[in-house]
Amino acid sequence: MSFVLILISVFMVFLAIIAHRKLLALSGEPQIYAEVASELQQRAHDLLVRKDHIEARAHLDLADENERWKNDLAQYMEDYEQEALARRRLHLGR
Amino acid sequence: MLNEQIFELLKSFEDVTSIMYIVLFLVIFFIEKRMSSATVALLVLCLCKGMASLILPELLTLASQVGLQYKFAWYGCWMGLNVICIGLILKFHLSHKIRASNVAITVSLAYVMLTVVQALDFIDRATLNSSAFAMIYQVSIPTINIGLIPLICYFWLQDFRKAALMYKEG
Repeated sequence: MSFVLILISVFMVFLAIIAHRKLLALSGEPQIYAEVASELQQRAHDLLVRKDHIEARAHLDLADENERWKNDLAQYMEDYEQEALARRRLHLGR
Repeated sequence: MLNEQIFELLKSFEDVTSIMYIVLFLVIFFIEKRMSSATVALLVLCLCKGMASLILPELLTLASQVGLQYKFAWYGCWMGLNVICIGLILKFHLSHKIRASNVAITVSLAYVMLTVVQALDFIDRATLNSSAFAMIYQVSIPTINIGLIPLICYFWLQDFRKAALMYKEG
């Protein structure tokens, strides 16, 4: 009799802890932030690949290509800075 | 005795907690004007207090009888109520698709702690009957109930400040 009752009370504690853990999972970063971070990472990777291509082939249209690459890099850094500012506001509150 | 004095003090504070919870809920709801994570947690807190005060007289008569099953009726009811409350907070968050704030997590953690204390005291009574946990039980439950109020205020003000800064700059 008492064994069953103790089992029920332990079960209730586990139930409470499981529900609490589920709630904790809901408190993480929203999905959209993870996706934005993933996209920024992808763009940085592409830029680096292009830089490698430019350096690998010493062709005639090098200056033109290099100029475009620099513009894209500047755009990327601008986006990255905006994203970092938004995150700082949200998570640190300043 | 000092212990009794502390217990009396806690008891007198705990009588005010239900009113404080309701006041906090109304204030936060009127400021936020929507069902946010904090208001959901406070609503469930108020609901739990109301249900507790409804079943308390019945449970007291039940628990005063001799026998382990009557003791379990007392502890089991409180544990069940706590589990239902955590479930309600979780359900509200899931159905409204809101992100859990620190307030909701604090309230849920308090319910987990209450459940653990009750389970420990019941297991102690059922097996060893050493009443070592009786004192801890009597002190910790009012302490958790009272301690929730400043914690809720602190976390809510922190979140409120963050939100205000976001609106100002963004």
